Amino acid sequence: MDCKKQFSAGFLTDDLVVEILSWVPFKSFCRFKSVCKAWLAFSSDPHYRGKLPKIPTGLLREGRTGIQLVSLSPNNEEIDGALTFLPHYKKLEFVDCCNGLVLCKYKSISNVAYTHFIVCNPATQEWRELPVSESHGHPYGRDGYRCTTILAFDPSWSAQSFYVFNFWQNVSNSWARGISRIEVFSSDLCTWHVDDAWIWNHRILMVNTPHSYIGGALHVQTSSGEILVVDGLHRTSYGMSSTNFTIIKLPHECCHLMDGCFGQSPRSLLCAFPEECGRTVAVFSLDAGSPYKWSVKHRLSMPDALGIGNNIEFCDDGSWLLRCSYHVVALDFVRDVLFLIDKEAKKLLVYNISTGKLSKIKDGCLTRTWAYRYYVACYSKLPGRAM
Amino acid sequence: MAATTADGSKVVGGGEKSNVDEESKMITLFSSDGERFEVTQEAAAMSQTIHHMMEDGCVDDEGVHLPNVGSSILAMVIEYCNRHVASPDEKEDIRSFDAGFVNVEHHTLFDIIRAANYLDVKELMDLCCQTVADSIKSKSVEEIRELFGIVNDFTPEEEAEIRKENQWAFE
Repeated sequence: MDCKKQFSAGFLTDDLVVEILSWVPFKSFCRFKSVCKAWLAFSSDPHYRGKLPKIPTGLLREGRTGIQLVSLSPNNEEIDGALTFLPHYKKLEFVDCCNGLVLCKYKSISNVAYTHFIVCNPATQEWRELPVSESHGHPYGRDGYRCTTILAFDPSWSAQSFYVFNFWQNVSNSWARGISRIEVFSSDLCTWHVDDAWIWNHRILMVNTPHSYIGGALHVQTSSGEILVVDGLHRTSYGMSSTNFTIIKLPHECCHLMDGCFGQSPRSLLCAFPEECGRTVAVFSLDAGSPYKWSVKHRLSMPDALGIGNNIEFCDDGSWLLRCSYHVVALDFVRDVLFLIDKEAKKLLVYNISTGKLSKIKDGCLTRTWAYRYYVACYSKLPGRAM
Repeated sequence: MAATTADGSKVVGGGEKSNVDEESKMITLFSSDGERFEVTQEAAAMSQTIHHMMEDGCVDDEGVHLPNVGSSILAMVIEYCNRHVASPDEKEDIRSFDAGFVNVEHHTLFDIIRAANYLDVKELMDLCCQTVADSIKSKSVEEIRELFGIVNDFTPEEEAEIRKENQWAFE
């Protein structure tokens, strides 16, 4: 055996090579595809595909000691979820993430009215600080106004740009309630623009609700259970806004509005909501077109392990409301899974859509609604230019 | 060659003929080059392959022949199993034992991986595969080819194409 030792590695069978490769980080694995034809072919082999490194995914949240990434795939040490590569990472607050880009903010010490936003890519460790928006001064920085900031980036639609939306809302005055002003930052123009196409509508309010950016359109769930769709984000050459705002309704069967989330298939918006007191989760797909239509993609029955039952809560005034013991945190169409949080047991669970199997990932989760945002690593260059 | 039993004392093979001795619960293993190793059944059962053979009653008086595993590698696998069976709860000790255990050359690791695969010792497989993976993750494509004894069968154009698709991984 000794005389052959320098060649002994050549006698490793393919399945043993795959076993070894299953432990390397995703980035290394992508590099090794150019080693030889056999190694390139591993990714397409149905037998090996399940074991090989995949794009890292996780759930991002604001933690007591800063931003945290709950890893959902093995070998995630390569992703710096706490964003320690950012110079002021300790004073950052997590705002949003979208298709691999993450948005954070911090307030400058000199003038607390100004909020500074940073967009970064944890996988490539690139980042940009956005110019300060004027609105963060008077009057919008004052009490009574809340700003919901949303990041929009879709590399399959346009890897060259991202947008950041500031939805300024009056939450205190019942007269003037709702979104009063929308500002959009576009990475190609590198500035904030007030969207002059927005017409104030008192009904529309959104605070940290589910949202999704797909096909160049931003979809945001409003507090009245509708979806605001914003598209046509590019500006015309005259600087005129071509933004278009539409309101569509969620599927009528959705009753647990606080417990669901959005997802994306390659061409359509998806949403997943518990129904029947949580005994099933319905996944709907939005068929774009006019008039729009929701179709049911799945009705997934949830195991009793979730502690479903006794879900009607009676209030003092005699009215009642439906409660669900869990919420759907994320829907991953590509990986065919749903992530749920069991509010009572404070556990993070994953539900495999094809097998119907529910497994636990982690204990000790935040149960606050919409505390987590789903993260899928992206390796394309950060759009825009340094400021 | 002597094997070490769970309590640390050495047992020299070649004495007792009977090898599936209920009282001391020992079992004899034969490497490909005919060396004989006495191991407790408990340690041997870490190998799912041997475990199934014992359960199915396929282990005869002589012991188990392992034509695919050489003596030096079998000795290492037995050392691993003995250690892990002895004090499975002492995590710190086991961790430092494992770290020392895998501190060997690549070709030895590959041999252990082959043996652990044949013997179906999952923990040992995972340990060695992870060790190899850690040591290769930063290597260049050329270094990988050299280590695994692989000949590049791409044309220059094909290779350039794949590198371009995964360009970000090379930065």
